[in-house]
Amino acid sequence: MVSTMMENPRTAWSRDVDLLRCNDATEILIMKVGDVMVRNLARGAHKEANKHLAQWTVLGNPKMIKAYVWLQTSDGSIQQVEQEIAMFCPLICHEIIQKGMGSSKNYAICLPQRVSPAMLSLILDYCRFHQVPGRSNKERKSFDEKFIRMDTKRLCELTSAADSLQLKPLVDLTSRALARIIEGKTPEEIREIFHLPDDLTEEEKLEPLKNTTDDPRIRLLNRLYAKKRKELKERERLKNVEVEEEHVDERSVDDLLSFINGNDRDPKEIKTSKNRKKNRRKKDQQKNSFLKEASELDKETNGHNIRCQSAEADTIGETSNIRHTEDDTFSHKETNGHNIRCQSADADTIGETSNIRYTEDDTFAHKVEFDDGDMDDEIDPALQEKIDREVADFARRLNSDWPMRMKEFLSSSGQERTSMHFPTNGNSFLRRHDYPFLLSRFLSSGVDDISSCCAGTGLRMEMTPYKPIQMT
Amino acid sequence: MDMTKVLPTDCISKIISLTSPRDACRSSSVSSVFKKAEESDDVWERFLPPDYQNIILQYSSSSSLTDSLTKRQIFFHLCDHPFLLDNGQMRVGLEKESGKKCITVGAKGLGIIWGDTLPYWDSISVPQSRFPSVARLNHVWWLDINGRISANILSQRTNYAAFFIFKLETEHCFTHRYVEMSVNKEESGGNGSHRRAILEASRNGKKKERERERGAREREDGWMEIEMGEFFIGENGDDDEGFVDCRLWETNGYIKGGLLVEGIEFRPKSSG
Repeated sequence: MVSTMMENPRTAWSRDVDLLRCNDATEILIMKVGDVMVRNLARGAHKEANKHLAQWTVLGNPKMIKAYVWLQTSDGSIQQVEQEIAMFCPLICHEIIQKGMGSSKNYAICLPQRVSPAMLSLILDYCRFHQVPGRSNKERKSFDEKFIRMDTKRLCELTSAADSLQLKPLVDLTSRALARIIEGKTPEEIREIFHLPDDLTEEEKLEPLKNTTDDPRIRLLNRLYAKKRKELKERERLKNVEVEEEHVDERSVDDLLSFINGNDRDPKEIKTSKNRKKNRRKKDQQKNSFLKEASELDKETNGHNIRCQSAEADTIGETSNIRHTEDDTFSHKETNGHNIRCQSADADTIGETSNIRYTEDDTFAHKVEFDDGDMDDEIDPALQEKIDREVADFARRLNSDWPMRMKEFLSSSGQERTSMHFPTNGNSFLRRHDYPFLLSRFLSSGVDDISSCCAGTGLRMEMTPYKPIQMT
Repeated sequence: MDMTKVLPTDCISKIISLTSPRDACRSSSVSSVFKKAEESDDVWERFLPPDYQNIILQYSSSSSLTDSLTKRQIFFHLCDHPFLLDNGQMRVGLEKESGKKCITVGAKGLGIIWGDTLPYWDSISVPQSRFPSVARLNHVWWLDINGRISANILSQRTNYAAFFIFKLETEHCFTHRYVEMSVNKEESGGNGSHRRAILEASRNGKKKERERERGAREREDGWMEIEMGEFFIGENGDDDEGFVDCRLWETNGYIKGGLLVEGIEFRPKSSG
């Protein structure tokens, strides 16, 4: 029957009338033509649809009175629109033909909620231009290009409105425009353009394309661990470079502690800059060797020691950047080896606000701070004294309790699963020293979700999108 | 105002599908809505070549592979693990940036003059190659290697370049000696490209920029490659756009040896 529609509708009509002997023959014809037209519109085949539109209009409106339809937009206002233009939108077409709506104000076609009056007027402009059959492709193209020149917000609304009206050619046009906007931009830029919230966790952002075998979190941790190791090595290397005496040795804890104690005999004495420098270097040395030991011991004892030693090293080496950590984390429990940390925290450990970014900047920052501390007047003697006292205290404790603590730790590490006390600074970022510990715990306890690992510790895993480490 | 509240997710998917695979990956870290939109099959179906299902079917006759994986997984799988087809003669994968097909014709699929004759050429198995066997040149005077590929298995509307993949076991035969290379696409009006180059890595810093670019380069998989020429695959209007023929030869009469040939790779080349 469709093919007969292409010939003169009147002959087809009269044929049908004979066939059906029904007064509603016209209506049937109208429906048929309308169906084809709707289908063509939905496909985006406008030329064909236009042909049928012409026939349809003639059939339904033999006197060719200009017909209007009534449309109601999202805000409730109703307007009158020329029928042939409105029919360009498949949804409206559908409503008119199959539901018979739109013929009067009371039966206005309710447009989808996404179509605001402004958007409707834009869409109608588009339809008005394109439904004229005589235009060349070039004309249409140039109209389109001018048409989409609007700000991004309107473009999005227009896409949405066109999509709800099923106006495929306009959806394609606007989508392409938006795609061109997105192309080549970084996620941050895209967020800015579209005012999107940054609501993915860092982990989700870094989550690489899922390989079926790998757990991305483990890979991430490994990567971070490798970074940390690299950084530790870098630090060592840099400190070695600036030191005169090359004491790269593995002194035992006792030796080092006695060294510290011996060094700080008279804190009130005003140190000459030379002396200070020497001290600093020696301290750096200790830190250095601590760190070296740290990386050795790391492998043996699951990193518990590191923290105490490196924490101590921090205390010595970076006196200018002391902060109190939260009281919560300092419960004086004697139940497990985690205690060591608490005590080191007592000693006013430094808040290294190192988040997992591990930039070399941090290392330098500390050094610089130390330099400044030296260059200015002496380190506040009272503070120095306080520190020295605490260090000595800590050292004493360490010395006496060490074997016992080790035993405790080793026996209790199996039992403790949940009460983890990570030394944190006020911002509760993980310190970089904690990494090996966290990793080993993670791996050993078989927790497959690092966030649950950290849950309940008041820790927030803050990871930044992967960027190569800037070695400045 | 948050744009994703205005646009439904499938509109966003449509927009992403009109960008490139690289942009799509980037968009997955924009926001949670974008991430969800990016993972949709609509996006990756567009990036896959139209006949990807055929490729997979050739590889594994069951259709369970295509059913169980999302289009996204299929895309990345094809990028990272090219399929070995055609009795180990051809390797088909996708180029990650554009999603276009990247096809390597292995040594077995090339036409090597004297290639079957044992004292001259050998067929050996090398662990670094993804092909089951590569061709090894022992010694020959007439070096003539031909590769042919049907134009309609490559992606349309793409600028391709052919690369000769090789390794030099001994360098002395090929240093300072030019080989001729030509790439000719049938029905392109006979205007194939023809060039001469030396099959060695351009280590010499004094060489001009242009020359250095077009010299042999080391690939990530340990092989060397040298560009033989470029050609363009247009819209596939007719059934058969013919073949693309590549040829590498050196027939000047001195003895050559010590060359390992893995194959010829056809991959999209960004213009410029």
